[in-house]
Formats: sequence, structure tokens, C-alpha cells
Amino acid sequence: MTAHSPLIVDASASSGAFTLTTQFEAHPGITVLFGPSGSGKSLTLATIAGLLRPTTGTIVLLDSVVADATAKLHVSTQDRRVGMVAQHGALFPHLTPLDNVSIAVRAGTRSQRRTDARHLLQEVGAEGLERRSTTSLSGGEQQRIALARALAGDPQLLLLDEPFTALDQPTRVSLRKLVRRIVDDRNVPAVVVTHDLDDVAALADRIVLYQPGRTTTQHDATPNHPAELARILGLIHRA
Amino acid sequence: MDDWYPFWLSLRVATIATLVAGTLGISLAYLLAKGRFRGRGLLEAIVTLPIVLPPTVLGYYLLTNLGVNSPVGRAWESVFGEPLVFTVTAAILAAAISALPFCVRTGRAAIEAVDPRLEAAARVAGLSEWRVAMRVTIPVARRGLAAGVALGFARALGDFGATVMVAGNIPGRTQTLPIAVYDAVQANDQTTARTGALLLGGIAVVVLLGVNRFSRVKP
Repeated sequence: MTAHSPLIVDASASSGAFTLTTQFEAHPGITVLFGPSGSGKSLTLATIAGLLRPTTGTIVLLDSVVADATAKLHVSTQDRRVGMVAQHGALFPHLTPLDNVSIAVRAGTRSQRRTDARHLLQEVGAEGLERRSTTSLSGGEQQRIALARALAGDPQLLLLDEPFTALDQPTRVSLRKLVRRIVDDRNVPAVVVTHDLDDVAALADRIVLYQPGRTTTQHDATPNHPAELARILGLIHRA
Repeated sequence: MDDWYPFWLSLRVATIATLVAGTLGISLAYLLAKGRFRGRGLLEAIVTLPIVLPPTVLGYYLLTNLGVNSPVGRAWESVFGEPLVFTVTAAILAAAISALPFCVRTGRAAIEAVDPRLEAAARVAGLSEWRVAMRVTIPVARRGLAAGVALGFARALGDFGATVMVAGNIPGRTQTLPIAVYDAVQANDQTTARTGALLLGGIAVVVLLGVNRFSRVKP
């Protein structure tokens, strides 16, 4: 293990009858968790975020242990300082886009938090949506707001759970670029869950492969070489 | 109707009772929806009891537990200088207890219907558990909570049995409109009975229409 890995996961987690055993290390940049639906990728994110306690093992976030099943250590979700974007945004429907973001800004007076929220909305290309009705936003607009909200707490890690699945193709392309830019500009590591190969090709600096209930392998990705990528993903036989 | 006192008293009693039952009821609804503790089932049963008990039985229990010879009744009298029973406060208490299960049950269903992903998103966004409840769960559930409180108001306004047991039927003091209707029928005063019935029926219809509206519109 490298000394300054942003995230080291070596844990099991359960949800109902489903048990997941996962072991991987994220690197700076974007780590993509790739695998079929139901393989436990979202469960992994919930465990990293602290919404779920691992049944065994540990999670290390920026060199500090945030979960250790043996030691019964569990740093609360609120104290982990991660930002999360869910598949359908999970925006608060009763709040305006601006308030969805400002509620997640952790410090400052009400007006300072709003100013910060405005800047975040600009950063994700959602200026002009501040006062719209949250429920009337398009899927792409909702994901932009969700991304701004995820950034509002100045997170040390971004978790994106199938963030582009519900979107049309052109919106996906522009949102992938946005995520790439944010990760690079802010130098914040991100873990992206997907079952879409295009996401892998466009975003992955590192790929973690999932099969139902477990992680199998992890690779540093070379997204510019589709054949290499396909080989890693096991889609074509090794020549 | 010559005497409007029962109407205004009923409105006052029902309004204050609804404030009490609404606050307590939403808190209990949240506790029952989210809490995992021993005795949760028992607490739910006790809170629901006023729906299934005959109102007179409910009133009987209130009377025996709050009366001048009960510990609560004696403590009340030593603090406030007058008995609790057969007062407007007793009527408010009876109405609040009758209204409580409607606030709790409807409210609990509304809170349980809130998408848990919103609450998870709020925690990840750094909101404390208190703020998750106050800024996300309860506002998102507000229509269902309002529907429960409205039903509670209708029930509080309409209570007869519990009120008459614990607050009595003192014209000009504790005689609420439902009791006045009963009295008027006994005295063959059809005008008063008809007006009172029409008022109570009309308010109930308006409240139910409002409840339907609340429950139809999505948050």
C-alpha cells in the first residue's frame, strides 16, 4: 500500500442477505468501480460514506481510519467530509437549487453560505437555476446541482453513484467533462460507480472490477487505448 | 341559535388541543418511525388507544387519573388553586388526547414515506441528525403531517364522550358545541340542534376536503 493513498478499502458489508467483500485502493484522480448491477458497488460507496458499518475490515480515508469493525470504530458520515452524488441526484425537493447547495456549506453566516453556493453553482455550470423549482429541473440540471452540493462541504473525497445513468447521451458527455475538470481543478480524488463502458473510457484513471459480491482485480487504466481497456475488462480474449 | 358560547368554546378548545396534539403527535410519529427501542410497540398501542376506546371510557380513565382525589389532580390543585376536572383545561386535555392518534398515525406514515436517500444525502452533506429531521424529513413529509393534524382538529372539535366525562356539561363554562347539540335535542330545541349540527358537519366536510387535497398533491 502506498503511504498517501486517498482511500484504502478492505472490508465486508451486508445488506439483507447480500454480502460484499471488497478490497481496493483508490489513487489520486478518478477510480471507477465497474461491474454488473447488483454486484455491490453502491453498497461500497455507502460504506465509504459511513451510511453503513462494515461487518469486518477497515476503511482508511486520507491516512486516517474512519471505520474498523474489529475496534468498533465508526466515524460518523457527517465527520467523514465526503461529497456524494446519487443516480437521481436525491435533491431536496422542498428547497430551491440554491438552498440545496447552501444547506451543505458547513461554515459561515447564512449570507456567506449563499454566496459560496452561488459560486459553486457557477462552477458546475448551473448559474441561472438558483431560484427554479427543484422538481422541474432536467436530469442533467439536477446532477449539476447535486455535484455542487457534493462540493459544498469541501470534501476530501467525491463519491459518484451511477451519476450519468438517467441522462441522455449529450448530457452524459458534458457531465463527464465537468466531473473530469472538477477532479483536476480541485485535486480531489473521486470514486465513480458505473456499469457503462463509456464512463470507464472517459473517466477512469484506475479501474476496480466487481463481480457479484466481491471485487476481483484493480488496474491503472490507460483510457486512450481501447484495446487495452477491453482486455482489462475481460471483454476480448488476450491475443 | 341564541347562545354562541359553545361554538366559540369548541373552536378555542379544538385549536389549543390541536396545537398540543400536533406538536406531541409529530414528535411521537418521528420517534415511532425512526426509533428502534424496547417498548415501541407498546407506546404505539397506547397512543392509538383513544381511537378504539369508547370516548366515555377514555373520559372515565381521565377522570379517575386527574380527579380531585388522584395524585395528579391534587398536585394540579396545589399549584393552580383549583381542580383540573370540570374546567376548560380538562376539555382541552380530553380533546388533545382524542386527536393525538390521528396526528401520530398519519404523521408516522408520512415520515416513513420520505425517501431514505434524501436523508442519506443530508447526512453526507454534513447535517446533524437534528437538522436532518428539521430541515429534510419533516419538511418533505409536511403534507402528510398537515393531513394528520387536520384530522386531529376535526376529531378534537367533535369530541363528546371524553369531554363530557372529564369537563362536564356546564353551560357557559365547559359546554362545547357537540354537548350543546345533545342538550338541545334533549330539550327539544330543534333550531339550536340543527344549527350546531350544521356547523360541526360543515367544518368536518371542509377539513376532509382539505385533507384530500393535502394527500393528493405530491411534495
